[in-house]
Amino acid sequence: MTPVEAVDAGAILEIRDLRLHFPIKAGLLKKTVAYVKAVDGVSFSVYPGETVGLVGESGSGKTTIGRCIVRLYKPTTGYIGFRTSEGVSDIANLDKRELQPIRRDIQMLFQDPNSSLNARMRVGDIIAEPLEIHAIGTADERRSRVEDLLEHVGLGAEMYNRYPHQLSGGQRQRVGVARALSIEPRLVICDEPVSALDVSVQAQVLNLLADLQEELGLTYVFIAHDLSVVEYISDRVMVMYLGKLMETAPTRKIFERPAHPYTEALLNSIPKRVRGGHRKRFVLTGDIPSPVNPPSGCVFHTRCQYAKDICKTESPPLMPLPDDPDTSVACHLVDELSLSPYYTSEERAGMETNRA
Amino acid sequence: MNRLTGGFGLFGARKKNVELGVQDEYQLLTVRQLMIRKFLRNRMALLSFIALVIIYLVTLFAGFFAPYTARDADSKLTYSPPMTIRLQDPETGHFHPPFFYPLRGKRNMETFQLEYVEEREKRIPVQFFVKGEPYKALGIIAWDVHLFGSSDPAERLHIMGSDVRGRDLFSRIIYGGQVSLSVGIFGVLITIAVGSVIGTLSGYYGGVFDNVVQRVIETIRSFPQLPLWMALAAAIPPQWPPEWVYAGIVVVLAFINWTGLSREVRGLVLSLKERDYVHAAEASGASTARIVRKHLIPNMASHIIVTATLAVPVTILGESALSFLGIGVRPPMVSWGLLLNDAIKIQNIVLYPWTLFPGAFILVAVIAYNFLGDGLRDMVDPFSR
Amino acid sequence: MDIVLEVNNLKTYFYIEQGVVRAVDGVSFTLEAGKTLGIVGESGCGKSVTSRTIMRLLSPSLARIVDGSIKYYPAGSPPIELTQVDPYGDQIRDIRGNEIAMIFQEPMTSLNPVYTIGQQIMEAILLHQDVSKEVARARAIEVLRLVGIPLPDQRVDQYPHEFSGGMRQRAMIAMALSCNPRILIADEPTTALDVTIEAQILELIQQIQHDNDMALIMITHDLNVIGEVADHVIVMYLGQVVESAPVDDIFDEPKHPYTQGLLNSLPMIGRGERLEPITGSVPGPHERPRGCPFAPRCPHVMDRCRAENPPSFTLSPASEVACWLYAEEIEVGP
Ligand SMILES: Nc1ncnc2c1ncn2[C@@H]1O[C@H](COP(=O)(O)OP(=O)(O)O)[C@@H](O)[C@H]1O
Ligand SMILES: Nc1ncnc2c1ncn2[C@@H]1O[C@H](COP(=O)(O)OP(=O)(O)O)[C@@H](O)[C@H]1O
Ligand code: SF4
Ligand code: SF4
Ligand SMILES: [Mg+2]
Ligand SMILES: [Mg+2]
Repeated sequence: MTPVEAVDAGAILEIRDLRLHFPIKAGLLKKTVAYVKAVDGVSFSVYPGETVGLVGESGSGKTTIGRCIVRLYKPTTGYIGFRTSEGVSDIANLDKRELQPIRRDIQMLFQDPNSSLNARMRVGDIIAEPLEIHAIGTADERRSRVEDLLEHVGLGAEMYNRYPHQLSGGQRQRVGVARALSIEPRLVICDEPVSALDVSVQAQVLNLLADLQEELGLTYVFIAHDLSVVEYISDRVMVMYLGKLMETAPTRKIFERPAHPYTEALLNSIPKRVRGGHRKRFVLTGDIPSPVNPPSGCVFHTRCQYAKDICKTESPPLMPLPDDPDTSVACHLVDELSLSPYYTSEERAGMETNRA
Repeated sequence: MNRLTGGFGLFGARKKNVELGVQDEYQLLTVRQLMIRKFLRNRMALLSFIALVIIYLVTLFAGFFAPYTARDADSKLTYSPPMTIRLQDPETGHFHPPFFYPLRGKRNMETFQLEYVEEREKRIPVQFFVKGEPYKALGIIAWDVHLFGSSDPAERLHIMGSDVRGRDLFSRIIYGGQVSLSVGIFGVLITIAVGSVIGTLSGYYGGVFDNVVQRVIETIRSFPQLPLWMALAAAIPPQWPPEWVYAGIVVVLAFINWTGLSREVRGLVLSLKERDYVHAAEASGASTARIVRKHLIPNMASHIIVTATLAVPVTILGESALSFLGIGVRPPMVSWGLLLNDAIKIQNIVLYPWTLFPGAFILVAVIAYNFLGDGLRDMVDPFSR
Repeated sequence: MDIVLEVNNLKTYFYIEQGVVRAVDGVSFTLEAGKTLGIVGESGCGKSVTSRTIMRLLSPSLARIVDGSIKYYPAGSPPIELTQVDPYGDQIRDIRGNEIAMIFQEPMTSLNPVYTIGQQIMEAILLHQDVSKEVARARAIEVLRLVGIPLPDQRVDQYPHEFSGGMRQRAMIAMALSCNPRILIADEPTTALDVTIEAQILELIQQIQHDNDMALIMITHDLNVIGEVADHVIVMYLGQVVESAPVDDIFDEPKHPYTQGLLNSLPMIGRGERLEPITGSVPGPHERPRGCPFAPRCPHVMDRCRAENPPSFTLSPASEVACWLYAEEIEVGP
């Protein structure tokens, strides 16, 4: 493993060529017979105070990236630089003891509020757990901090002694938010935190996350498969497919000027209401292929309507657009294609004036 | 329609609902309340629980409940049939306080068997809290009062008959219960200790340790249970004192049972450690010990208790089988299996059918434990129906 | 107008340890041949219990139909009152699958893992049709091809776990379609799937509906799915229908405060403004309000709402709303 120097000076988190290949073991002796290439060479940076959306179909490796960042998984190779006041450390290669101080700065928010709270613990103890682990404050101080947090996430201090099953799904997710924030992290990995919630509660939790970000200066990596949620909360969007990034761009550009055929396909499969009815969706055929044997060349070529011969043999690198360095795309035909957006800039202007 | 109008709300709950303008036909129950209600609704489990409590109390205070000690013999009354405690004089029809007629042995000159007849002239009252053989309650307090017994020390009362040496079978069953039932408990305690520690380790860490443990478990389980027990029990040195033999039998019985529990625990750990609350704790830097203590054990405890409860009857049966075959606990200890050994000859069953009484006790204990385990299993999953 | 199903004031209650759960508490609708009825509402509002009651899939010891009627109109024979049939009897078994079919949210739980996909489809065919095994197998392959499973003659012998989520849902649809039902009830068929696969499945369902003139009940919490497939929509809240209207009215002129709230909670790409979602959450059975079920969360709540549950007010022949805000409109009306 060659060490990589931190190059992105402004980033709070910088990921370079991250790979995680899960071994598939079989037989009596548990020999490794193949690898699931869940994350296969991903690089990106996250800047303080922003929200980066990570989208893609299920199985594309979003959760795996999130879990590498909080080091639930140890990456196979790659560099995860995290900037603290003491400098940059490579999370990917720290041991358990060295990680401990960094764990205070990075927290994770989970998808399913039912399985992310221990049914045998009281709400207050759940939220206090990270504080206890890092031995922060006395028991009384922790209690008053937890009560503050409960108020902050809109639950009320009287919830302290409840058990999770006595709460609604939305309330449980608020408990999850309070737990993630209890040790004042700087970076929060949100793994589909609203996917399991009803629309009304989903919007409440999205607003809560946005308010907390503003108030506490948090940085979010926001994983989701619902593009309308990502559009609502993110400053930038990264589109992922089969363990690789296809496109990264500022949110507005993703929707106005998609540069990758997969982004286009995702946008066109979002339900959209146009005057007097729902438009017919574009249907991307087939399923996401198996990450055990990903397609050769461009991983998307089996489903790409523009694929050419070169796509089957050569893997396109993720490259910034010459005329727009904020946008990076991994496609051989990026200069030739003119892809249809979710809305044109005129349409968008129309939406905004409608509102005014 | 009664259920619609309520009858559920207790005390405060209803009042609060009225204040909120909420309909009160539904009451939020805590998990504990739900579990208790479910258990109480399961009649057989409840009944079994009560039966087991009684049986254990009786064996715990064996000296008091048994009219005689286990070794107290009367050579004049060998293989006496159960004696009837009566309230009514069969001839006059008059009622009296509880009494019995003593038995007198007579040799049948054709078969040379001893045959017993009641001596109707002699009405011997049954006395409660009678002074009798001295014993040590709970093994420490010396006492000589028994719950009931013959008021005449010279005329013995055998309500379940006696054995080849004229020892009271009922008393021996109570003392035997001490061994049989405690083997179940101790065997299962060892099972829980070994099974859950090994199961947790192999589930949590996996890898080579898990692989080895799983192969060992498969090997142990590939043998049929009873023959393996017999082989292991036969390996206990005959010169050991009875207490050691007892401990040895407990270990032998636990030797197979831990494998089942350990598999169950391993499966639970494998699924629990993928729960997001465990991931959240790990991502916050929780130590393995903390995760096991705070997240795994509390969520496994109820399953372990259920499995353990269902393992007790297996252990009791195992001890009985081994003792019945003569390779279990040894005299002077008594156990139900050992007592049943008296009935090993078909001729004895025909002549002295009461020697099967210990079997009835084994049956009752085993069935009760099974019902209790089933009830607990339902209870642990309070949201199922 | 060719009505195939008519549900009137249906009430299904659960009787459990904690008391009564009024899962479905007065649901009415009619379903026409070839048309799609959408049922929308947040989780716990009684959508699934409604569909399971129609199919009589709920055990009578747990859930009781306390009121209402479900009339099914078979082709060319007198209507059948489904609330009256024996839930374990032959009559309902004949209707299930053959006349009314259902697909569920999680196909894995409704497919049996120990049988091949083909065996399961063939079983459905053999149960209802008097054909030989070979014919049933050929038909199974044909429906698999119809639902767009590649290489159906090989896939027919595979087990459910060898299928991806989208493929399993296709297989479920194939099974539901194997006997040409007149009504298909789809209970959140795409909720567990990616948008890309959702688009595929919805297109498939609509195409099959069109080809067979089948009536469809689409149950979902996702208004966008409703907007795409439904002709008429009922919005459910706490077991009751709060609004019933043609799909375009639901989106363009939602009447009930709950419907309006649902639409406001939906992030709309490009709108860029802060969401103003409904406050609070769906109350549990222990906090079921008196009066209007939506009162605790309603921005327009009035004293009357807390005391009395509003009846359904008919605003136009096709649309009804259960909200006191519309009482005057009716009372004053021409
Ligand atoms: N612990 C694991 N062991 C083996 N394979 C895994 C593991 N976790 C995820 N995978 C596989 O890695 C791929 C990416 O999974 P995931 O990161 O969960 O995707 P997403 O979050 O985008 O849906 C999937 O094919 C999944 O099956
Ligand atoms: N088996 C059951 N036992 C008790 N209550 C149930 C059962 N199934 C559903 N319910 C209750 O019925 C109500 C409606 O549930 P459901 O129809 O599944 O909602 P939806 O499909 O709209 O999400 C909920 O309050 C739910 O808790
Ligand atoms: S590289 Fe080729 S296959 Fe891949 S997205 Fe671009 S055009 Fe499609
Ligand atoms: S009846 Fe009242 S509370 Fe109910 S929805 Fe209408 S305005 Fe709101
Ligand atoms: Mg995921
Ligand atoms: Mg449902």
